Amino acid sequence: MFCTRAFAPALLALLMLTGSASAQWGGGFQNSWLGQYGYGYGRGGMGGGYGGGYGGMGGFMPGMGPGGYMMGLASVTNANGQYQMQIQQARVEQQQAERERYKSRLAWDQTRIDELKLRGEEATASRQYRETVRDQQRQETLNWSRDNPPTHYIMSGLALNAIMDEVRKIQLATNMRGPQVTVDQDVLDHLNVNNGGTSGGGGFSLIKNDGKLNWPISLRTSEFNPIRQEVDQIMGQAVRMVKSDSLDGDTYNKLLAELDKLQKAIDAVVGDLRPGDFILANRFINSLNKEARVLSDPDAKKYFSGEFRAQGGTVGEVLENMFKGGLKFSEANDNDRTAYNSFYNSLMQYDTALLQAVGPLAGAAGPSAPANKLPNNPNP
Amino acid sequence: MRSWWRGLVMAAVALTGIVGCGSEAPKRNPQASAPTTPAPAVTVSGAPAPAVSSEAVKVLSSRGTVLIRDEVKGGAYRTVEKGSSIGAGETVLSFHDGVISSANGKVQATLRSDLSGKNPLPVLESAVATRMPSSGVDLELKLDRGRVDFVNTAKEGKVTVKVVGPFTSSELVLASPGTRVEIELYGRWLPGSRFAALPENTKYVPENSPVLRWMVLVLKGEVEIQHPLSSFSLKAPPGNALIQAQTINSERPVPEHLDSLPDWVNEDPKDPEVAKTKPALEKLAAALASHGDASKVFEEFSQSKDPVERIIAVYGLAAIDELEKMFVVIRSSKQEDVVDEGIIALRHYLGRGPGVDQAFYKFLMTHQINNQPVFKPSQAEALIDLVYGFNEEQKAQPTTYSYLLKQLSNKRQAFRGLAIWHLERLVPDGQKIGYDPTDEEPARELSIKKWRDKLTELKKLPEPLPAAKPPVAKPAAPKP
Repeated sequence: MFCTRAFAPALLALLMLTGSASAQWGGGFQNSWLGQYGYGYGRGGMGGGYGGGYGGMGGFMPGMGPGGYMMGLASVTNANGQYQMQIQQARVEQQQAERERYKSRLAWDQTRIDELKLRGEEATASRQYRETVRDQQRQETLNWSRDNPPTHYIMSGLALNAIMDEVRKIQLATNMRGPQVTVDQDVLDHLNVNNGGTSGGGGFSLIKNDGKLNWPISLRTSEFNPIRQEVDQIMGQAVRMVKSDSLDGDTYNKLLAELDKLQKAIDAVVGDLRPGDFILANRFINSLNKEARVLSDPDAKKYFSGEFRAQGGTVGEVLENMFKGGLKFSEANDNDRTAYNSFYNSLMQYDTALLQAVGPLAGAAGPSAPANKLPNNPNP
Repeated sequence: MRSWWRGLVMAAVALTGIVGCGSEAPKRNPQASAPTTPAPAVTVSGAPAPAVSSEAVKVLSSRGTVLIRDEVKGGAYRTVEKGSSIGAGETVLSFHDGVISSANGKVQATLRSDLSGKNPLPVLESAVATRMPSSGVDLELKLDRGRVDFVNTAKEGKVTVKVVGPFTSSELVLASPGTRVEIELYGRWLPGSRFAALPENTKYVPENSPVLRWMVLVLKGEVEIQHPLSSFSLKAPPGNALIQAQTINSERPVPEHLDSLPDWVNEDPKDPEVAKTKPALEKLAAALASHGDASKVFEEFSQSKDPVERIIAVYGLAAIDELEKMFVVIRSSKQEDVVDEGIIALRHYLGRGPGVDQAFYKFLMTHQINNQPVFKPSQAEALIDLVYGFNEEQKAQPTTYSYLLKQLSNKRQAFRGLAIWHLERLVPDGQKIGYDPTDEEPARELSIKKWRDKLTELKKLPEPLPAAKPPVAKPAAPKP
């Protein structure tokens, strides 16, 4: 899933950001316009993150003696000065000792980590660290998904899956359900699902209607007619064979070869293509390639038989069926955008009402729940 | 990009002429020659203004600070003397504090620029078109782009300024002498916009135009804004001093309270950004004053060793609609900043207002090198889309990076330049690779490989397809 890859590093980066990214104008008002154009400058991150650590040496306070020079006695002054020096020296030594202790603790931790690694145990500090990072990423993804997410969050299925997982967690913990939010069959028909990764994470979107392809406009030009017809023909044949459990290696290989030719055909004219057209066409071919590869999966037939499909009259029923089947939402194609937006809104309605009903029971799953504090990385 | 360049960029942008009233496509007259002698008074027809009755505005600043040309006919910009009368229907353009006044002398308008880059709207040059004032109005202007400060210079009482925008107009009533208000207009095509060639008689509306943002800020005194749909009372800070909106997806504007004036309102000569750019702009004004032919001045600036002057040259050529010359400067320059800033200048140019994109498309379709057309329609469309850039959803698509990577090998330099311009902004890690779109092919190939490696390393390109697994043969059904 490209989206996960694309934003995961960004989320990590966000963890390390501090403070607000908003620009301040003089005169006390903020410029809400800047950053709309161009490439933006990121987003204010969570405070804290990796900060902290040792702290500085600090603590050196010259002139600490309360006006000793006023006594007028050099000896007293000297004595007082020596006393201050001793105090400072003691502090320095104490801090050095602290640092040494800390180093030795780190060394001990590292030894312990090494030992555990040698024993092959996964329950190490590294694992805890990784788990915490993953938890934070999940929480960040969930927060973003609930709070007016970018379009690609919804279209990739990422936001739908993040909210669905959270709903499931809440429902399992509280045994409560959300309200009846109806979902139109038209919307359901456009929701693409997969079996959660057991067949490589793929599912069928473009070929789910018996392999009939809805080609993007940039590939419908006459120069692509021959290759388009070839792909249409072989794809239809392959899907028919999958449905009858008779897909053979020759057909499968020919399909992949035709798709390879299609990719080469579009690469040959990239200089004449508009960016938006190329992006759509390439995304289409890329998705088609991925879906073609799923055709050889033993479960492929289930996508066409309706077993792997979003089903139900309400959001609750759809989610329940998804849980039972171990299904996940997969990427929308360009014909599915309206349906994905519609279902996202319904899902948010369900999720918001469920959170309100559950209230404090939701615990850390709440929308404004802060991510867990990240421990120090034992293996930076 | 260094911030003072950015500031300059913003500032230099505008220039005018091409868009006229919004629906008017630019018409350039290559035969028009720029007078090198002072033009004491100019009317729509180009003849000296014989009578005060034809005067729409008067130029108060020195020669070289403003350029003018016929708003509809276009042609070359020319300089005018201080004290010249300008008739209606002229575009007035200024890079640096050009000052005009109403014919009755009751209102002064300063065409400002933003040297520091702190202005919320990136304005380096400003342009207005003159109008004969409507009844009850002291000064009437069409604001083409940029920032204009109006001051009530009457001896007593209020004055009324009518500001015509691309889609609507407003009247600003400056309550008393000394009242000062600034109005800004700036447009951009949003990233991910898709160019569409429109028929000649298309009516321009916000939906087929760049997004225009405007703001009104009262700097001193009280101002009443009268708009056909609503009226607002504003006063200088502390108070409701600011109102701002944009042409699409904007909520109904509401006056905003300010405790004090923002620091960008007044240019600080000690500001390092101002200090870097001001001498170049003053040199520009002097050169324009002595030479008169703006395009030649900008061409000379493009050869300068001073990067500020080179950037002014690129923006200036775009501003006066000398796209052919701007392309030549960009194409022939080995200075990276000229190419880099040239693209920004183009983005500013296209955002000026309704119809500019159409004019640019026509320019591309007629653009020739060695008497050969350079672009097919699909390529011209692709080029404009590339100038607009990529929206957030597209930036998240690995195929966007595939597209840009492939464009680095495009045989047309314009595409290569645009592709690297975007890539270096989308993937700052790659800036050190040093791809140069003007390099010969072998040198380019080397840096393209580095770019491919970098994008692969950062997982920006589409992930490799999963290995194909041949279908597993199903056990044969038992024979009955």
